[in-house]
Amino acid sequence: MNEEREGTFEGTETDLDPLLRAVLDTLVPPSPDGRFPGAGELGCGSTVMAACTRMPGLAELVHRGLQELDRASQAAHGKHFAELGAASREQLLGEQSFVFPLVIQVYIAYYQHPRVLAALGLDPRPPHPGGYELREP
Amino acid sequence: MPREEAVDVLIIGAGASGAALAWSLAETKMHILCLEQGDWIRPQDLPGMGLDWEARHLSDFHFSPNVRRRPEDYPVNDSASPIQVSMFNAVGGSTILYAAHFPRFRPEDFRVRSLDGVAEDWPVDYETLAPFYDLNAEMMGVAGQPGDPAYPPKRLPLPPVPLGKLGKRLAQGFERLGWHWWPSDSAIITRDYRGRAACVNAGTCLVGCPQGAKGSVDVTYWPEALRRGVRLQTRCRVREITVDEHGMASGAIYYDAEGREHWQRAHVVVLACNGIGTPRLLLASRSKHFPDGLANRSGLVGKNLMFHPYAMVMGVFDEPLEAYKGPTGCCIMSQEFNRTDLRHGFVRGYSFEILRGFGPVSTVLWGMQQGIVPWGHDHHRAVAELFDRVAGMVAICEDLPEEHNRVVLDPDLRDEHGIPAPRVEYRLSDNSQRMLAHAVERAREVLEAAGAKQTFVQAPLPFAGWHLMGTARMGRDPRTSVVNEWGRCHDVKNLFIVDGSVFVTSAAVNPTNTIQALALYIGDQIKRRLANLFD
Repeated sequence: MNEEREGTFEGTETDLDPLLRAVLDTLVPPSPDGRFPGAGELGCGSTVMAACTRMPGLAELVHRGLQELDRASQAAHGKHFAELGAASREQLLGEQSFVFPLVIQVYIAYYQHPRVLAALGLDPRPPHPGGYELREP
Repeated sequence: MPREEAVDVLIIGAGASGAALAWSLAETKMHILCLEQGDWIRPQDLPGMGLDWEARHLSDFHFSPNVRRRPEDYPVNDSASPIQVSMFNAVGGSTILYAAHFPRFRPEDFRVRSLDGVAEDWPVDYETLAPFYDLNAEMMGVAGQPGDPAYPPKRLPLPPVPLGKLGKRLAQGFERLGWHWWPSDSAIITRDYRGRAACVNAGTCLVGCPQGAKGSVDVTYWPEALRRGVRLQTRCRVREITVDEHGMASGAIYYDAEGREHWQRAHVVVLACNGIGTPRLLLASRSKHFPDGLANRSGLVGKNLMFHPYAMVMGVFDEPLEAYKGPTGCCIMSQEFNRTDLRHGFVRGYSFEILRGFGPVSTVLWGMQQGIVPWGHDHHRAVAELFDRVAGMVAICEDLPEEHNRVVLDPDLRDEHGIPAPRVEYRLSDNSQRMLAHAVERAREVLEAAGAKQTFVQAPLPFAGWHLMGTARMGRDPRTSVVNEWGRCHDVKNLFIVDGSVFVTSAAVNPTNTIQALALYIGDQIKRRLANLFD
């Protein structure tokens, strides 16, 4: 297995929790029918940031990006990013360059979560042991 | 440096070919030792046992050693190639990660020069290898459907992998066009077989099979080879093959797991390090007898590197296909365009290998890459239209041997033991580019005939350097080949090569079955000639 590198991400997750959670819920919001939770609501933040610390420079990029995002929110709307409505959050987030590498890690964390597997109609478990029944139609 | 007691046969590499050869020679009761730089992979350590299995396909179980960077990996400089090298170092070698799609070469694939006036003919033919293909089918547990019109009759001990809804849908596409298709030969057991449990259709083949149903050689050849008395030492990285004062191979210098050097002496040395690792080792083994690299008086070691340029064409369908179920790369294959038709604008041809769909993470990342899965308010709608609705195929294009496509030693890059890394110099030929373009259009036709609403193309597929061939090729003439017709180096009569390096041409199908048939054939030849092996 790859060794985990020491993270250089200096902010504490507690400090950025509402902001990070709001970003994750903007990238993957709750589905309109309620079947799929938002990625922030699902608690993907710690998994996502752990993955970011294993990739050179990514955690720092995300940290700086989050701070820049909140400053942009204050400048444009006089509010923290987490206090904005969905449409405003999407618009502001779309202007940030850290979104692309971040969203890859968000998708990886989100789409391996048992709740999301269940929402997709899959058994909420790894493929092995057990596998799947493949019937001939 | 400790000098180990001499063995009769030293095999370097415990992958597909090394394992088959070790098993084959074991009945002679010679002292046989295999050195492998990787280690055993335990089923419980394979990604498919965890929720993060798809993520690990992107990290410690990635195809490329340059991404994985596991301790047993060595760097490969493939920056001068549009196709990146894929391999895995372990007991089992690249069979740990392969899809186990297991076609044979056809008889005509050994006679390319005679038929089409390009490349060379092999010095062996299908009829000679046929009994070894059959033997390999028994040992690996090959599942397939008898009666394929593209082949002579062949031994298939197990029924084919299920097509499922996805396979049936894509077969309809071929049927509507009147094109050849057949259930794939697969080294995946569809029934309990020789103490192994049957496939459970988990779809994690490309990151290893915890079930042991996929025919990786750690569960097929190695258990029997070890029971027959072959010794296998893991975490031993060979630095060079040594030669004696007569220019005969005398053994190998290797580093053990603690980094200590050893000289293992041997009466016969066999290289099974794949089409990149074998030329690398030969080129790194210089001496006064072989200043240009061991067994390289022809100058051909490392040259004529053949990949299979791949095109991947995926379709999005309008209904769930159970696409995530079943062996990932084993379903249907088509040989409709696996022949020369000069009206197409290229020589030789390609096969199609149907791919099942992606898991959830792979679906979303693939969709993002194609630009059809946005983040934000439209995300879930886009994913709902995609998950379990994606299926398609790869086109495997026959690559022709060209001397400028080659493996050399990198002047700067080295592994952690200081051994020069291989450097790959490769360019796609005009023939390959025209073939890829043709294959993409035909693949689209099939997918649309099967009902795909949209198709997406990647050609050439960058990380598709799985098949490594041609870099120590086989032939009767020492001026134009490195090994003879039974795998013995022309220049070093106790040195053999059994991996894909010896391939003369690449055909348009996955090579592992043919690699192993050749290894078994070479083992048989060694056993028959033991009395005068070095003549």
